[in-house]
Amino acid sequence: MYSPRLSHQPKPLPAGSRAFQKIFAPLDNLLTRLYGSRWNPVHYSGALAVFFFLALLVSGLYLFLFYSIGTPYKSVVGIQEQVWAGRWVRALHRYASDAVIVTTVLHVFKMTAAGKSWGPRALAWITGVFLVGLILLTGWTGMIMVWDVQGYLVAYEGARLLDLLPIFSQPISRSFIQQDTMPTSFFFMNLFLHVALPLGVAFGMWLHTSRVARPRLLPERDAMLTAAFVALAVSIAWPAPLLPGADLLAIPGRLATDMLFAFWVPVSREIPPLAHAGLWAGGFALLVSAPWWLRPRDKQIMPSQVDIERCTGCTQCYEDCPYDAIQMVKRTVPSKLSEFVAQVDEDVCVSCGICSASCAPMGVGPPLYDGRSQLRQAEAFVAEHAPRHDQVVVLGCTNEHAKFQAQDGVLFYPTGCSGAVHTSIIELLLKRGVGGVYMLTCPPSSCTYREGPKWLELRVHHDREAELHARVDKTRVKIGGFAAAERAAAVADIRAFVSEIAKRATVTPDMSPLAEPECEPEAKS
Amino acid sequence: MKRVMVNVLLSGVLFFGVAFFGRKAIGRDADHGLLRMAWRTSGEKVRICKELSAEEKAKIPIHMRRDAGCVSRVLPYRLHASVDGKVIEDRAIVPAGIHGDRPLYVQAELARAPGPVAVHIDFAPDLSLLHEEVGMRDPAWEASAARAPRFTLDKTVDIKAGRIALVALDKAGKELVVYGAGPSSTPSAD
Repeated sequence: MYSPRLSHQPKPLPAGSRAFQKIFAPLDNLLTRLYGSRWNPVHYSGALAVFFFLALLVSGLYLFLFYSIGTPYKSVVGIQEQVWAGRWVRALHRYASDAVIVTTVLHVFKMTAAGKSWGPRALAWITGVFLVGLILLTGWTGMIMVWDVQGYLVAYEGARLLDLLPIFSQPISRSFIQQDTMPTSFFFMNLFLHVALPLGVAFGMWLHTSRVARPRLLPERDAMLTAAFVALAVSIAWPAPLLPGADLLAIPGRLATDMLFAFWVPVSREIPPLAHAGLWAGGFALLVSAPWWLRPRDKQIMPSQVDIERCTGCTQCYEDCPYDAIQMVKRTVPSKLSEFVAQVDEDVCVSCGICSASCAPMGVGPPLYDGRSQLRQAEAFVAEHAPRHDQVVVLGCTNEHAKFQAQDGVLFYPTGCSGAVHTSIIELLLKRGVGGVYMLTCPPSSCTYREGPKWLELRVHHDREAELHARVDKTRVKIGGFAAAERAAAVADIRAFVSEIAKRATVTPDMSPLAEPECEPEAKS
Repeated sequence: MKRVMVNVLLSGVLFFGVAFFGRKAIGRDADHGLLRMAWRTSGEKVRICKELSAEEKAKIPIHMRRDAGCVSRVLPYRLHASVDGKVIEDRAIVPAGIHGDRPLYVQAELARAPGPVAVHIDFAPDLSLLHEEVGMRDPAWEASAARAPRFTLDKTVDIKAGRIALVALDKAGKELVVYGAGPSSTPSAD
């Protein structure tokens, strides 16, 4: 096993996240085994939540046409009686809202297990907590709109909670215990909120993704088609029930409850409002403060640094950074190299190292993981292991494959994100006589740093800067994207590659230094 | 293609599970009924005037100075309720709002096994509460208290399992009636 001291700094993972990972990883692995990593819904959880949210908007527009604030329940009965449209559109609206909650919870689990709750991710985490709150609020107003028994309960129990605020001269829950029907103004306000809150969700989404470049807002087309087909099929085959209308003089008994939104209602009916409010306040405080308590105690992010003596202002690192952490700024001291130079925003950089591999002259990257440091480490690896021409070096992403074991004919070289491995490392290894280089990456859909495998593929096979030079025999390089749960498939693919390499002609090690990497200076703003 | 079919089926099962949790029947039907008292009345306002001390007067601009300061507030009431002769409520109902000028409201519930119960309610102004609160008396308040509406209910109410018998003011706000004790939510004969 290669000495870890030469690999990229390990991803700082909070102790809480490591514990959470033990619980979450089996679920993730199970879904990977069932679906394959490409289709695993956990990998698309955030994007699926957005997809179902859009489904809510579309189905909601249809329902809005038939909804009446004057006779809310009667209008929903009318919708339910539309066998060819209204019934399943309402079911779709209901089920899609539940799916938003489930996918959002999966997304929260995924992010917690990945330790993405602190540092530069704190903004996304906190806005995410508020987004969950907005989604729940939107759902509750939607339930009240129907004004069935469940909607009544949500309104009444919610009002009991609000009564704790010292801003009402008399309890607003009183409005729900009278003999009269609720006034139209109440349903107007509720409808207004149900339409306005999603606008808040859209704004929250913008904030939530503001610290990532090219946010993936929707899943892959196939995943979207599947989700749409399944949601429609279930909605048509199993329409959502319509409960009896709200009766202010009845004690709600056993009823079909949307446990994904109204999970708190049974609790609220059993405990005093103050205790219930305490649970909400405690839960909210716990979640919103996670960036402070769910963070590693002894590790810090080491942001990338730019060597302005080497930066040619080509903008490649600026374009590749998955977190928009690099800006191009005018040089303070003029240089023949370029007018502009890269500058890292240390508050936003997560130290993924992807910029290291984007820079041909190796002038940017986290400390000890810029291209030049990687080359030194690779030279040390070669000196230590003296790899043979019939051997394959597996450059493995430790975020996904930390537990990968070396196989016959294989040397394992743990790296950080595969997208952070400079192509010069591949060239160096092959030049030193290694038979082949296998890049064992995570699946593109679940890259810890979002875009690693994508950039690697483009750099190795499609001439994206910093590309793998044409002088390198690319048939000796292979990229395989597998999840940790697909270890067997990964090993089989590596073995096949080893067999293929073993049949190839012997290569003579060339111990001369690599040509100085270069790229076209290009001053773009 | 097989992979696609498997994934679609799996997704269907998962989505079905989501839909299932979105409509899961929980709770149980109530085997008891509720006697709920819930009404609101604007009551009767009284003026509470007291002579200002020299110090208090000094704080007021000269052109606004007067000998007495007056505030208006709603008379407090006392709610006395009993069911089958057993007292279930005997408490002061004070007006809402910081200045005590908002309406009086009553909100109380009592769970009962199904069956008829004799309900007696008396909701009347209680000057002693005001005396105690402001530490003074005023003959004018007696007149206000006499004018203030007094509400009583003496009635046998049929409590039904899963239903709420609501004691509230009638539409005109003149008397207490029971809603929901009959088969529908219309006021029972009262």
